Amino acid sequence: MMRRFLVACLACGVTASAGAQDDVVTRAMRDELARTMSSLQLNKLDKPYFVSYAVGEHESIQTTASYGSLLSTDAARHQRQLQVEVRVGDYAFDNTNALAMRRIGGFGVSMRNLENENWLPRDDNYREIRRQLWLATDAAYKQALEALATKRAMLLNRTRTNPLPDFTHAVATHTTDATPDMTIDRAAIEDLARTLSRVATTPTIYSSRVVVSAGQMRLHYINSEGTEYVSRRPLVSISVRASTQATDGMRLADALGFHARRFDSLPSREVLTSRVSAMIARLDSLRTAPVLERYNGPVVFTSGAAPGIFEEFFAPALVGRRVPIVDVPQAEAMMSEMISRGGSFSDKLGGRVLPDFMRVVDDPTATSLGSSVLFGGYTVDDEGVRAQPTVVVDSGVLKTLLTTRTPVEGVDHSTGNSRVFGAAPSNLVVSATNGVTDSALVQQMLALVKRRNLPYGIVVHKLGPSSGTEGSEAMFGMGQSGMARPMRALLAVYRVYPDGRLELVRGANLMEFGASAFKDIVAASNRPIVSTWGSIGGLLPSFARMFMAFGGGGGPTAVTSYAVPSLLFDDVSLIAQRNSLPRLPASPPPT
Amino acid sequence: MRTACVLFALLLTASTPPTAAPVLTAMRQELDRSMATFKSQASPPYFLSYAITETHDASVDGAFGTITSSRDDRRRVLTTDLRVGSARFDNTHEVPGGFPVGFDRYSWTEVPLGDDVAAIRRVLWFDTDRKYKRAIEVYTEGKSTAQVAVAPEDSSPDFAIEPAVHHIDAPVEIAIDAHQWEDKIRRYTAPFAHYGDIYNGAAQLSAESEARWYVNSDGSEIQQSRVYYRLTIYAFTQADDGSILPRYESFVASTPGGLPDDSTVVHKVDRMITDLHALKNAPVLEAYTAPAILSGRASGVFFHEVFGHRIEGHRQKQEWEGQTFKSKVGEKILPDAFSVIFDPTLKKLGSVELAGSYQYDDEGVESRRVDVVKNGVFESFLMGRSPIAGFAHSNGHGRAESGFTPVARQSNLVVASSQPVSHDSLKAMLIALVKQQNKPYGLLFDDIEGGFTITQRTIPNAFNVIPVMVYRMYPDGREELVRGADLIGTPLTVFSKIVAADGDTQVFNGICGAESGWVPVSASSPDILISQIEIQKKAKGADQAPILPAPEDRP
Repeated sequence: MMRRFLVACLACGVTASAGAQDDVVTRAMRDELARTMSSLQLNKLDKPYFVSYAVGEHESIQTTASYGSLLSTDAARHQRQLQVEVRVGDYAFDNTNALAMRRIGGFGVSMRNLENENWLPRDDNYREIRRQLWLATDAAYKQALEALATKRAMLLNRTRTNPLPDFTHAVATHTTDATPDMTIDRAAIEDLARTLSRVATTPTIYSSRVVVSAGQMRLHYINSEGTEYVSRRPLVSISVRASTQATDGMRLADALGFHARRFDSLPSREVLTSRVSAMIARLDSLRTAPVLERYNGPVVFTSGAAPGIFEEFFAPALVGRRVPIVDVPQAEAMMSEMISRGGSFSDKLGGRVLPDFMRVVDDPTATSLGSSVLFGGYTVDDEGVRAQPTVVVDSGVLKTLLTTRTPVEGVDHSTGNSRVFGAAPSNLVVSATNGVTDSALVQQMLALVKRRNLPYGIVVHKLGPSSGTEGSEAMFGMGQSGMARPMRALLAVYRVYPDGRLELVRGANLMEFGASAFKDIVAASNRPIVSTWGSIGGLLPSFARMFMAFGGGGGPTAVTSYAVPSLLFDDVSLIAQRNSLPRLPASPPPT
Repeated sequence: MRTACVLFALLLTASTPPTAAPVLTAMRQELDRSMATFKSQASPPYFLSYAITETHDASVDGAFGTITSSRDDRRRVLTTDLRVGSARFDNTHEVPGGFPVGFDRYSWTEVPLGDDVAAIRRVLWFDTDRKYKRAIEVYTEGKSTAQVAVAPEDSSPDFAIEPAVHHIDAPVEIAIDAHQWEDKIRRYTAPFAHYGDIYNGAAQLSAESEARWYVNSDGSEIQQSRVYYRLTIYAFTQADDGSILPRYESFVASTPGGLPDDSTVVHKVDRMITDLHALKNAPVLEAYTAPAILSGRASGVFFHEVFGHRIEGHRQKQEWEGQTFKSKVGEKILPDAFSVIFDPTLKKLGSVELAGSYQYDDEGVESRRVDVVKNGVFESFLMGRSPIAGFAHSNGHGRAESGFTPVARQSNLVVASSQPVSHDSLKAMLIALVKQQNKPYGLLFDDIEGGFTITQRTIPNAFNVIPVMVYRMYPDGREELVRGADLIGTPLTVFSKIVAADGDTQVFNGICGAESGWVPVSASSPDILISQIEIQKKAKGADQAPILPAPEDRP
């Protein structure tokens, strides 16, 4: 009875009191937290003013397959990990948001922290769990003291203009999550990976790989302000990548992803197989498609591509990023510039960032949109702040940024978007008040084409795989002054002629495209389509992709769902790859 | 019951000859196809080999009487060696004056597990094509750069052609009893939990099996397996000055039964705890030179770092390398009584299994014993397929971790003296030297955790052997535990100060990391006496002990 009540009201944020039958981990966390707050102090130095513990119990499997055969299965079974946060000072000024560049590479004080990796015993052994909590808290406290002292020293010869607090106050919350555990069936996962990888194997596709992963992280968090939550994040993901070369040698690559909360909620085997087949077939037709050398004109990004450009180019700008105090002042200025050039809208609050008929809402309380599942939701964010819908852009004007309890310029409170590494969107829903059908959108584009005397318009159905992964030719632009912006590979691009004829073309890259290009949206469709990606909050997008491309983020990655309608841009520059083309293989694949 | 099963398995393998796995078939088929494909190119490959290693890795970790994690992973990795040009000059030719970038030394290519020949061939095909393109680029560049640079000092060919080998071993799998292992880990680490001042008391039981397949264009086909079972125990405390004080124990065996029994291990753990507490109170050493005895294990590591790395053959023609012993073949480098061998065919020394044993190296060459020092005279380098002046062929020491390109590496190092003295005599000799040199004390290095060395030019060619248990040896016979110093020195100088050895050989089993990755090795030696060694102060942390007492501290 109690359980059903909790599950039904997950979205309503009903508080639940922790039962008297606390488990061993909870008791250990509570007891050590209490002792820390009451007794931990080194000599006469600052006592901690805030402490949080997060214990994650993690179970996951990741299977990789190619050509119908397994490459590997990595299984993490019932790992328990601890994350400790200790703050000294006070909410206005504490040990965070400062970077001591002169000390980078130095050992720092606590060598002991290098030894223990904050693994907790898997056994429910109260004494040993508390011992690890004790040692980890001690190390974190000492590091915090050192950081605070360094930060104070940094500011001795400087005056801060408009100092932001380091940590905002938040209402204590008490929630739990009764989502049942997902059974992870290794054999079924391996079988699915093999099957799909077989579908992705054809004589003209040179390399392909399928990754199926299933995992759940039961996270238990408590902090010294009285906030406590339990969250469970089961997630099943499939990723299919394939690459080949066109007849002239140009590299071509495509990728497909699926998400579900449970293995049996994935699309059926038939649907998955046909989607993979369709991707392979299109990749194959691209091999002989003509090259799009150059295009400047109106472009429609349809449902397959709009969420992608939104996720990559616009959404990161909606995330608040705090500029740290750096002991080398030039570095601080450089970081600030990197953040704004990296596409953050920090300076655009109150300004127009989209056409006035568009609205963007971040809604972690939503679980679906129409018949599509939204995966980015939660009851409370990672800091325990209650989830709530946030109107980020209204009538084209930027109202706020998405933040954590670390405030940024112009946003002095948390919007409840703390996820894994910092602020990130949850479910981002984009809508237009005057949306039309997709075909009407294309007609509007053709009208522009006619007006400008162009021979054709462009419709983009799909972006290429993101930078740093197999097959993509896009470079990492660092966003610093002087360096070129990234070229973004597009995949499924069609010329649309005034008579309605469609022609598939290849090699097109988006040029000079960033968050500011979205102001040039002329019209949108009336039907947002949902796509979901892993999100790395807090990092600049280019670093984030590099991080993910190299397999980073080994722990639970947050996912974000984007509901975005088709978009008509007034003027977009597309250019073919100018690199010399690699030779084809000396022989076809063995049969 | 278990004995019967083992016996049964042995009987089975004895009656039927081992068969080649389908992997080998896939490798042979695609290799032949690749050679045919590229034969018509302007620069066809003169040599091609595939090496596939399947690693099955299982381990259980725990600390303080509890289990923290476990894993069980299997992976197959491919290393392709494709050579264009000729054995005299090919795409691996190292340009004098340059430093190897190293990017080509590691392969990230994963191969499908299982027996699907078509799937495996697909991966081989893709990798070979990529390797060929890279090879002709590097070869073309190398040819023109070689014309611009000075002629190399050593004009040996780039590659040694060796006889084709055909050898198929039965596969060996690891056998893990997860529950039993978890019980052991808990039991071994529980004693550490009684002490609030021991900040980690951890153990790991691991089993690793490596199946290696090797095929080359000269006709070689090799299938072999190796299995290691390892128990490692690690604990540390901290001194008042912030120094981390560790203590290690590790054991290697080729069967689970070869690891020590529970009571032996618990006894070792008790000894570790005693030592840790003694170390906490031990006085700190300052920089110092003195005569010293290195116990067998310490001496083994010492020889491994000072000597072993410097006789890895390929280094002798790399012009950024120090090449310490390059011109010393035929010269006396140690006292007459001393001999040093490297023997991968040796599986045990006494009752202790050796970690550096193998039958065929990772370049498809049969391993063999190499006498590197005979009666004090330096005779031979350790060779892979990279010839050097005076040594045109491999002696079966081309080794690599899965995924890396092989180079000459160490195997089972054994130091011996033909004129051993008793252990007491060795100590007496030490004291005599101490008095002779007017030093307040000599040193005894009893246990070490490992070491490292630099062999390149520019940076001093020093070595550092990292001791754990060190004793001051006073002229009056007193022995005092001390801490805080590493054993350092430079190779030629310290070699000239080796004086004598006792008759009791000890074994150090470990893993050695260098440019071809981590490989298991052993280093065995009797205790040795060195007339002068140098110590330098250890790095130390600045951490204070934890502020609050342990939550439930029990003395």
